[in-house]
Amino acid sequence: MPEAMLAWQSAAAIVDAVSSGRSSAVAVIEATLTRIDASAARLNAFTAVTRERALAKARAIDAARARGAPCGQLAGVPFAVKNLYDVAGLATLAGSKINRRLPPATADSPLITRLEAADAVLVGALNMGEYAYDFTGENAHYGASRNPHDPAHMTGGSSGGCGGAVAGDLVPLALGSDTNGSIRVPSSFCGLFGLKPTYGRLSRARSFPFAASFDHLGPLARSARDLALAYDAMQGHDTADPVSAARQIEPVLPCLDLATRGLRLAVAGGYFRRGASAEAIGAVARVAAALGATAEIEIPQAARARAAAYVITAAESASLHLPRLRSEAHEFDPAVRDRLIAGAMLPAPYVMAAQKFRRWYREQVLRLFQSIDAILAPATPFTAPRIGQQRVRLDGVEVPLRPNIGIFTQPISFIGLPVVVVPVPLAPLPIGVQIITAPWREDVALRIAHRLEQDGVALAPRPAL
Amino acid sequence: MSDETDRALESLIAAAAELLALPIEPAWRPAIEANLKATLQLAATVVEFELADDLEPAPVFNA
Amino acid sequence: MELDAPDVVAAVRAAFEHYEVALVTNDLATLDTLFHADPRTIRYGIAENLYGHAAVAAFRAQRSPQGLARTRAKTVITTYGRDFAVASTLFYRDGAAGKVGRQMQTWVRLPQGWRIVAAHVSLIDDPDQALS
Repeated sequence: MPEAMLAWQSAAAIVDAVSSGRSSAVAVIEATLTRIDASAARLNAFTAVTRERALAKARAIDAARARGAPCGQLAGVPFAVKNLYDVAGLATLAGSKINRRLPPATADSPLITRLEAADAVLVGALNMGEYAYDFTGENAHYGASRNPHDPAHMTGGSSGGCGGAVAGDLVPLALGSDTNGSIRVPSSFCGLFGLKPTYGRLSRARSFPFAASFDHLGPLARSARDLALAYDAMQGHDTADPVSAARQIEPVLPCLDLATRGLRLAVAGGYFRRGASAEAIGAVARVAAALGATAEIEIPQAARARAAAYVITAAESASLHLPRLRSEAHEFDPAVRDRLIAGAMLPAPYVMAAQKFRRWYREQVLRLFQSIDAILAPATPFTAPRIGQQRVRLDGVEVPLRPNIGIFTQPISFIGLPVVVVPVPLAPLPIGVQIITAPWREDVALRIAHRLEQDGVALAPRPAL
Repeated sequence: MSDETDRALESLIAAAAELLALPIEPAWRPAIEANLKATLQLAATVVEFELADDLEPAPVFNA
Repeated sequence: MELDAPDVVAAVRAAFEHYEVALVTNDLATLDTLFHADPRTIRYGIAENLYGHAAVAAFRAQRSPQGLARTRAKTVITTYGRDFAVASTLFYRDGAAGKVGRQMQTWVRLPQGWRIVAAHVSLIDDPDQALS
């Protein structure tokens, strides 16, 4: 298969080409590695390329196929992981300089293992905001990851390299993490489909943490089907992650084409409309209209939920990094360091109150899902700002940019609800819409995302590179 | 926040840095103060929401 | 005149909490007792303006006991001298997301104890559901 034909291919199309023999896995991976090398200066998405490992895996896939062995359901699909995932033989950087001194990981994260068991091919590790305490994708040590739709603009973060790599046509699939919005924000800014599953759905074993109460891992891709393919391959209880839910694997791929008519849908009002730009409101309206969703729903105390998530994140991340702040404070990204230090000084009762409030809020929001199947909300208040931008105008008031990027994502991950972000292809920059469902109902969110994609309302736009 | 509270914040940071053995450069103080002030303001909105004593915190431990 | 004398604040707070429990459990006897039994007592409610203790009691008697549970926030009690206090609180009701209730009470220490002589309860769109 000529290299040009491999460009902007979905994972599903690659699987089809490789398992039918129209393309070798080696050809796919070689083309991928060439594109990655060519992109380094322009996108700055990768921090490590696992060239030899990827080619060896590709050769193994081709050899197995030649022997007549069945191909895995992700055969030949190149993927990359945010550099907080353990990759055997690499130090797990988590976007930091400090972690360079760690011994190399001895084993891959289980999500990598599961994808490779399905014959996907790991090609490298991706840039991120230091220690994941970031919504921009900028990084003082490794440079900002750049938005393929306009490289003067940010990818968003903290899974910045994931956004750049997938939207930049380097890989069709990336694995990121999301604590307060770190999969959903780059999905929105880079025009991608992103899945933050239910808290506890995908194993976080052998990945570097940020705030244990909220850490989730999940995929970014250019189609809902590709998200479903990856997600199904990664599901399954893992005792190595204490919060991993002891649930059966619930494949979503078979449910993808189920009708969405009859689903009870509503648009989040109140808090989720305040401070949203015309693009954000317009994108949600477009999605709602396509789905026939006319109802509006208020999520109670969403502002307080965001505040509580902020407080718990500050306390947990500071506690995690305290030893490093004591001995290596100068080695941190200054933007991260000062927030971590501040978090270490929060009085305990405030953090405890936030965790109690979380139980109250969870009960209130789950009650909403008794009468509704999915809630629509903006993923970000605006499209991707310029790299280095410090302030933004929201609701007529000028506020600091960075903490406000996540205002719409934070109240949702606060209680671990599953979310699929769908990209709405606005010009000049895309923006994402969150499809929020009840715990364990990723199937409903992906089904809605797939429907929107079939109808041409949601689309991962291809950058003019 | 009042001037008094700002001064209390400065003292808190200095004292906590001492007690937590966190070396803080003077140049970092303004950003740390701004961050802590913002976080405390958010924390105040959480704490002012009166919840019952017997409401269980979200994380539940299984022995 | 001393403002917020600790023992006075404590006494008013106890009366306030006593009223709160009575309100959410629809304890009519306590509610009627804590409002001053006088024709000059006034209560502006959510959808009614009530003049005199008898009108307030009549309203209570016919009110549905459903949906009275609420979460309070920012309760402020200020006392002036030994016989006068104002109690203000915000409240949120389940199922009324996006709205905040305000309750303001004027408490006076009468020979029979602390009593509410005037009260106002109203609901607005929550202005605090906004950005930091």
